[in-house]
Amino acid sequence: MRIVPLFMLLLLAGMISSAAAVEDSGPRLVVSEYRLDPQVLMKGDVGVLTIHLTNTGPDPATINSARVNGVEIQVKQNPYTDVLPIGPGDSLRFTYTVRTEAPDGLYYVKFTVDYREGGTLRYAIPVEVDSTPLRISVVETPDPLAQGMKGTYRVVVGNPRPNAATAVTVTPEGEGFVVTPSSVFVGTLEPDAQSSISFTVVPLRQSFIRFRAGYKNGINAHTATVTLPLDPSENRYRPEITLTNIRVTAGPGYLRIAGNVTNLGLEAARATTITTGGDATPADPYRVFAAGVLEPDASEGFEVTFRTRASVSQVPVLLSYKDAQGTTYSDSVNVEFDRQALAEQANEPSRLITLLVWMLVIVIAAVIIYAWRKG
Amino acid sequence: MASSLLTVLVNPNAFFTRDPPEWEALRIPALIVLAAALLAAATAYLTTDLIAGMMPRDVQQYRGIMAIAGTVMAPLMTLVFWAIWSAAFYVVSLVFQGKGSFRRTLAATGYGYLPMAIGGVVSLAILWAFGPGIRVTPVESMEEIQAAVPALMHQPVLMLSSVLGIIFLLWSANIWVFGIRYARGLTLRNAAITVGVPVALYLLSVVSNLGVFR
Repeated sequence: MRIVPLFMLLLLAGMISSAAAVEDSGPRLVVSEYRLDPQVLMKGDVGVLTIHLTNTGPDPATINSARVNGVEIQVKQNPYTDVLPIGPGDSLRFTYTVRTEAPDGLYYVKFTVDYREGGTLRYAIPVEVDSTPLRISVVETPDPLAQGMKGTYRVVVGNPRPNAATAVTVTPEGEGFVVTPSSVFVGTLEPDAQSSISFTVVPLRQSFIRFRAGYKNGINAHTATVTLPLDPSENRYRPEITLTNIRVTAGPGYLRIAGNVTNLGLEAARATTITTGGDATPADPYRVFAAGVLEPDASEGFEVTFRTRASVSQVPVLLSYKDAQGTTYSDSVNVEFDRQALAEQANEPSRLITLLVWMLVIVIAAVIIYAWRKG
Repeated sequence: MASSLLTVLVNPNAFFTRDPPEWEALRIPALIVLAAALLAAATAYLTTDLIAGMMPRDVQQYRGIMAIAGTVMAPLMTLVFWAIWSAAFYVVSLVFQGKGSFRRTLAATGYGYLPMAIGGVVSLAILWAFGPGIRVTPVESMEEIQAAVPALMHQPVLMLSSVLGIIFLLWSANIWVFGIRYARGLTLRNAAITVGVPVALYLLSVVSNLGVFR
């Protein structure tokens, strides 16, 4: 009778010990690490999901399949359908390409591993979708925005996204202006960081200017733009050169245009030069007249000399000057002249001289007559 | 001296009949011709510079040399012409049995340069005043110069200068008539022919060059 209770006790102990042995043996698979690149997807983005699977059990395992499934997050490739052994303490890396068209939010993809030893591992991985783009804004514009006058646009590009944007480049686009630099590379913009860029723009006509910030979220290219109308007004302050009191005279071997050059603008005219163009060939001594700096309301005499064909009765006088920003302005004034009258004016002695000559003739004639009478 | 020169100008007959005949000395006539030569040099400088201004650009670098050449040649030609006029009068007067020496002819002819010297002053003043205003048509080649120089000479200022030259030459001729009359012992009529023939030929040549007959 005393043997039966002892047997029962041993059997119970055996059962307990057998159960304990089952608990400590066999593979144990766990997701040790996962990473999504980019960390936060934007709508339409493609990302790379990397999952590390580790066998923390004492026995090896044979994986039949490992796949990722999602609803809002589509998995483009599920390549792991072959048998994969994983030893105790070993890790396997699984890489999946995912894509989303989902609106902003937090979604989950399910990682499922089937292994021969009869187990199935299911693991939910969170994927954040945030389509907030980079912010680009113009914080400074030229005042006044004048045609042909240099102005500075200051552009700030900021990153309100939860992850970094890489390869950030800001490029001004449009027609009807000249801009420098043509593009600025900012590089990586960390979350909540911003960068300020200045562009020098010379508007040539009415148009628009668009600043485009190109950047990458992982491998996905995105852009953010800001567009401004480019409506340059006439520079109210620009120097304005005009020619007055123009006189055309003839010189030995050349014609001469003289007069006054006046700056009617509100800014000083610099590097002011005057010469002739068209059918006129500038000639010495004043091929080009350099007036230099001409202050507002200042006037200065000028003189240019040229040669031209006898049939020409009109030549353009070419003006060139710059404002303080270095913008060059050109103008042309047509000067007409009567070639015949000019020649007569230049060569014909005055009536007084003619009168004196006639008087001289009479005197000499009288002297000769007197001499002959005396002789 | 001054009154003598004035007498030459207005009453050459009285001057050349003075006793003693001081006019036979060559010093004063030579000085008169020299004065005319210097004035001719100045006039030539202005005219040559004017003509050089219309030359092609590559020729213009010799503008200074051309002006100097003109300035040197003009007075030399004045002196040479003194001799030529004298020789012409001497030779023509041989037809009328002229008797005086060539030296006397040279002296009489020299006094005749006095009006031309005055004419030189007037021409110089006119060129000085109006020369810079003369429109010179620039030429691109030496061939065009042949056409351009006559055109230049037809400019009113230069024409006026030439006409004045003719007027003063006639005044000179008047003095020469009386000078040659007494230098070569001719009648007034023969002296007038002696002077008139070379002067007329010369004037014909000058007027022809001015294009009056074209």
